[in-house]
Amino acid sequence: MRQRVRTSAHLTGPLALAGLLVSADLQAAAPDLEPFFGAYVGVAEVEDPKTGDVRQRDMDIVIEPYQEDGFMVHWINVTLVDGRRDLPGVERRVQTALFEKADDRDIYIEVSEKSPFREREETEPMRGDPVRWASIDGNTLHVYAFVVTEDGAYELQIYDRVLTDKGIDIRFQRIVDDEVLRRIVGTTARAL
Amino acid sequence: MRWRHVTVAVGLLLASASGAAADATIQDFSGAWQGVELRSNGDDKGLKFMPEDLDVQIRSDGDGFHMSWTGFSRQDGGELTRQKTEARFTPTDRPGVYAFEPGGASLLSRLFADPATGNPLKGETLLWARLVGPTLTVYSLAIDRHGGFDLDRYARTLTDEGMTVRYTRRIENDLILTIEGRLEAAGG
Repeated sequence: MRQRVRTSAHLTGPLALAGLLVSADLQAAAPDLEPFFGAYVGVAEVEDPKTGDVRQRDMDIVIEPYQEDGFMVHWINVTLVDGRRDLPGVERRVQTALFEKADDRDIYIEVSEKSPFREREETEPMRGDPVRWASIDGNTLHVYAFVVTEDGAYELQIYDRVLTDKGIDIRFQRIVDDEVLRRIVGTTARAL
Repeated sequence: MRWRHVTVAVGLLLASASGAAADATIQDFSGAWQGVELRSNGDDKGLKFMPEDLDVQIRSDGDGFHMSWTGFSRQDGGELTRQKTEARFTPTDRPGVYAFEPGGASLLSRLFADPATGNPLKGETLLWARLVGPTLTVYSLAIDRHGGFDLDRYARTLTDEGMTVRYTRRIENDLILTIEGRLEAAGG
């Protein structure tokens, strides 16, 4: 999408002007996001603070533009068995999240692929609707997921992806009613 | 053998006490409660907390309840300020879970989101409560326009001597402030 719009700037006349305007708008919309775009491969340690149990995980992450001014995160986690991925019991999880820029706030709101404008509808957290959003703070892309649980407590998940010289570092916490139930720390390299 | 009987008896007493606590109702919390002890830990942003900051009034109201207390808020990461707050809560279809009731909201509750139409992603504060065992917990979530957020949790627990409270304030990744204290029934 971004490439197509840039190409239009080579046209002449009013169409070219329109293309330039659209291009400028798109490029202005996501300057903070662009450094995060790419594919990353790395490893992480998954800690259960209650038991002290630590497991190793391989990670494969792709962050790319989505729609006009949003982004998509696609990731594959492989939880290893005795440090290996070729043993029975290995777990593989694939997830994708899509975010669109909020109209009037400096945040990104998760949308559904089937309903890309879902964020414009009302959410009802008290009925269990999750509240998911993202923001950029310097070199860190924060992604938050918050839900009021069935028993009236809360669950909060915080994913931080921090740009480094070689890729992005990962920090994750899963918190239920003030108690940290899972902590993940990882590092990745930008893949060629 | 005799000690084993004593142990069992004490165990039964404790179970009985906790059983009573498990049946705590909003009526059990109703009244004016006065903070008498307070200790805090973390980033108070220059605000000196006092036991009276824990004062709370709770009153049964229909099938819900009304609460007024001193909250803490900050504007765009600035200083923490006290804020007199009140809200009415009504039951939800989840047992023990109460939502903020916007009907008849006053100036002291205007920031809170209507649970049916409000959206914390649009700057409205989500406020709710739950009653489990002897503990009535009130939560609030406020997300600022840059995506940062404050998550407050007040857990008020009935005890034989009155009430204890544990307040925690989370700003994004960190639990930055914890206040614990004790309250007594005002005039009691």
